[in-house]
Amino acid sequence: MPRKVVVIGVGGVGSHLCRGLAPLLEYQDPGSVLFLLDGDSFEDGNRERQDFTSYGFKAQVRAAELQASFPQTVIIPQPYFVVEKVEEGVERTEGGTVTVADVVSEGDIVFATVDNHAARALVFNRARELDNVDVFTGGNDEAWFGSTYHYRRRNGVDVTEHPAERHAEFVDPPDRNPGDLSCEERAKLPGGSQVLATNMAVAAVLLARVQQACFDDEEDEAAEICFDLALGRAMPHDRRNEPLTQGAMT
Amino acid sequence: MSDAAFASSSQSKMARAKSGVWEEENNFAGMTVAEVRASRTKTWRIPADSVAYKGKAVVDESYIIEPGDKIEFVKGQGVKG
Repeated sequence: MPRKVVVIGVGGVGSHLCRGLAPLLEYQDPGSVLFLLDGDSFEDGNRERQDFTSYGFKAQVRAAELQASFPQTVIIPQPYFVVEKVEEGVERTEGGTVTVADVVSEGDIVFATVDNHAARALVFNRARELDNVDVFTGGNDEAWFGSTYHYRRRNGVDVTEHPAERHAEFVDPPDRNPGDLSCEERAKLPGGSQVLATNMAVAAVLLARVQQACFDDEEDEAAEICFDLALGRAMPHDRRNEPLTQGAMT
Repeated sequence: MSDAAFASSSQSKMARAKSGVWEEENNFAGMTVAEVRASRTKTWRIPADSVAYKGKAVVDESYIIEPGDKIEFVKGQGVKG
């Protein structure tokens, strides 16, 4: 069954994730469409932790690299930041913005691999408006610590908890969506220090989660996973909502 | 106290605490959430502003843990990437 998969953020985690998603779609569900969104560009400063072969908009560079190897998957680059609203009448240009409602729709599998909670919250909140959707996110902190989250909705019901139910950072994000910043403000954002291995590990966990939950259709008992590469530990957290029992609703 | 009595008494105090990559079942019953947090903050690297949950409900730092409780100090999602 061809699928629509959307990766929002093709940086430290997303650039590695795409390398795994493309063959998964190519050989399991030929004819699928993979959208890559990122309004940012690959620069020399990213080389230590990101995976790219040329400079330019991340979405375009990665899509061109993958399309050559995976011809049965339609890979569509969208060099835009995802925001809630765009100003009417403004022509969309590379490095510009696109609304989350235009990007995330019914039946999608979405990865919010951006480096800020504000944009992640935007994607999760959009998903809550839909009946059937899977949204994954993942990132790292403290060098070797990483975590992932899977939010699933089926038939208009949260199968797993919306992350805002336990995570304050999705209720009141402590940061700002780069898509809402001016070019000057965006240029001043710190690049952050990241470890390549942790980025790759987050991408690997996300790939495993989507394969198990969406492709193999298994119930996700580990919707949230935390790991620490320095300690060699990983911990699943069950975020499933309890199913409604018959007659529970009056 | 006999070994059996001690084991029974100890078992009746068992509760579970977790945060991030850590999880532990121990004699937490009778302790407050704040006491468990303080005892594990350093080794588990529990953020000071993390909220404690029992199931899906937020619990106060003064809540006294009961046998069988499962308390989680929710660690924020990693954001870099």
